[in-house]
Amino acid sequence: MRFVLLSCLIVAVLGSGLYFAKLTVDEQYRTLKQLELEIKSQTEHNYVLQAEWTFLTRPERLLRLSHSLLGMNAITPERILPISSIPMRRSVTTSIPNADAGVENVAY
Amino acid sequence: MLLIFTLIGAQSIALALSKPKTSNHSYATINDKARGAILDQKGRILASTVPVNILYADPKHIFNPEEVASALLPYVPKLDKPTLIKRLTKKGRFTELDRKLTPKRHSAILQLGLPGIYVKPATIRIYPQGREAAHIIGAVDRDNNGIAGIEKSQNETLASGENVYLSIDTGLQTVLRESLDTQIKTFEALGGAALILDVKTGEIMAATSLPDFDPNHIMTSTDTARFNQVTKGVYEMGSIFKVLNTAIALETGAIDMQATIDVSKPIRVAGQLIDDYHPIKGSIGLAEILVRSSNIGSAHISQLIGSETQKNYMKQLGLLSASPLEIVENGVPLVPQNWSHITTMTVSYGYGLSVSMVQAAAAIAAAGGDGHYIAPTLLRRNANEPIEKLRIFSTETSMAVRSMMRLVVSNKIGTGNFADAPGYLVGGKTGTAEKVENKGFNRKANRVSFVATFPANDPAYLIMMMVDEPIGQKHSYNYATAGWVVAPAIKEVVNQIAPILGVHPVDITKPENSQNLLPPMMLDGKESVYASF
Repeated sequence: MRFVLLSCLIVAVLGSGLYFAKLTVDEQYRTLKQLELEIKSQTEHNYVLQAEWTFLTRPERLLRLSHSLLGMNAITPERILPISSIPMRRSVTTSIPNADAGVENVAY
Repeated sequence: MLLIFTLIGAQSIALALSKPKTSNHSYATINDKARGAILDQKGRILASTVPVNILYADPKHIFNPEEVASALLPYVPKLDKPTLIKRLTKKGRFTELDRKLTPKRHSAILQLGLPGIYVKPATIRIYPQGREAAHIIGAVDRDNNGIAGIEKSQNETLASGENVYLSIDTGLQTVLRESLDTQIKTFEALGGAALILDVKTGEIMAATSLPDFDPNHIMTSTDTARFNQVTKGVYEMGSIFKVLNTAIALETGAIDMQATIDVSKPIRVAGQLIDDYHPIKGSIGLAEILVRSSNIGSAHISQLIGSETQKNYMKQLGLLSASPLEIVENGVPLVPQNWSHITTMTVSYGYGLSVSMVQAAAAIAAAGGDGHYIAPTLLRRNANEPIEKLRIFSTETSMAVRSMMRLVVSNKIGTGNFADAPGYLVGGKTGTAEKVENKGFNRKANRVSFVATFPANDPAYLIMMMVDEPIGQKHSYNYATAGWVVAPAIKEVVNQIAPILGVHPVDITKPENSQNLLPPMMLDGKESVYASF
């Protein structure tokens, strides 16, 4: 009789434990679903925001606004130079000991 | 006691094993298989799918249509009252009232609390760039199935949720469209088309056809506006074909740079007269024939090339069959059935063979580039993707061709002086083709075009522009030729896109640049140089 009672008690404890575990899992599952929905919702918002951003930054609009509001125009070729055409900083003047007297060798 | 414990245990196990209560809540409308986006070369959105709310009615639940219509009317701007009543009294359980309900109107309609009026979530295809590249992107039907352009040709990929990257660059597209639009308005033309091609990869970086349409409202556009003149329309290209004729002549050895041809007498053949727009006296060389755009000279050269050889080259350059372009609106060339010696003559200066602008651009890119033919594409190439190149012309031939194209722009006797964008070494060729009318040609209705490559020492980009039936203006001394109508727009486009593309001004006096062009040559009895500054 004692054994049976003990068994029933164990079954009841285990059953309750299992039930609470299930409740916790269900809760986690609901949270997961909620998060998934939220991600989907944010993704949808992203789609809309990206479309709006693209609409507002379309080159045709930027071209028009930069010209009318900022007076900007296309860059003229004379303002574009290769990096090699920019003169480097002049280094410290050095004289070579064996060089002809009075002649300085300047390195650029 | 035993029974109680047993029951508690059994109930606990039953509860533990019971299935969780599922939520009836559904929010998201864009599922994982939402139609993919179309993006430009730099990842800017050209077409995307966004959630919307559809306003609809269940006519069975509407008891007083007149009253409901009056209340609803301010919030459905696209419908008038009779139409609204008609829809509310329609048979069936569903009648759509508005497909793009804004949040503001949605809220206002909900506050009306009208029975039988409902809102359901859905998705809609939007094109945030509006008219830019509309012909290339295409459109979808109400069920989001592609019905035109890339939307149709790449429907399977897009429907599976994958994005499609195009070779189009929206920045370049805008510049090209604006410039073309300006010229069309200035010269009161019917329309026009233009494209920018990457000579080294075959990628079409911009393509515009005017008039165009807004794909967000495709149903309100006309057939003319929906017609893609860049890829679908096939035209006799006129004198820009002389570039190909020159390249073929040099490549086959039919003529060399030193030879001269008498162009003083018009050619009369099979009832047709071949003459020049500006008559030229005496004999001139190959370069001068191209620079002065002599029809007579080109026709004579074509006879030295021969019909069979010319046809073979046209075939290799992809001009005798539709190009493998990734778009459904892809024109099939009109090839003469009998390629007679008269055909050979007329094809040499761009008549008798009709091709699409894309095909002509790809062929000229081969002749005026580095001699390789690359099939044009509308899809972005991956960084390490191998490019199939077919060598058609030798490096010597292509160097000579681009040198002569440069002289068309830089030499004062050239027909394309207005295209010269200082520093960028623009090379090009003008073309003026009379339009076909009643089985003949209408001398007063022209389609003028210009094909340009830059920089001429190492062509990286090709621009082609065509204007349909321009009318001469006071500032153009009533001329409506390509040199007056299109060349200035080419200069404008080059000046604007070169900095975007990272093309730096070229100093042609430097050996590393000049070695890619022929030495200065004699034109009109004077030495001609390529520099423009």
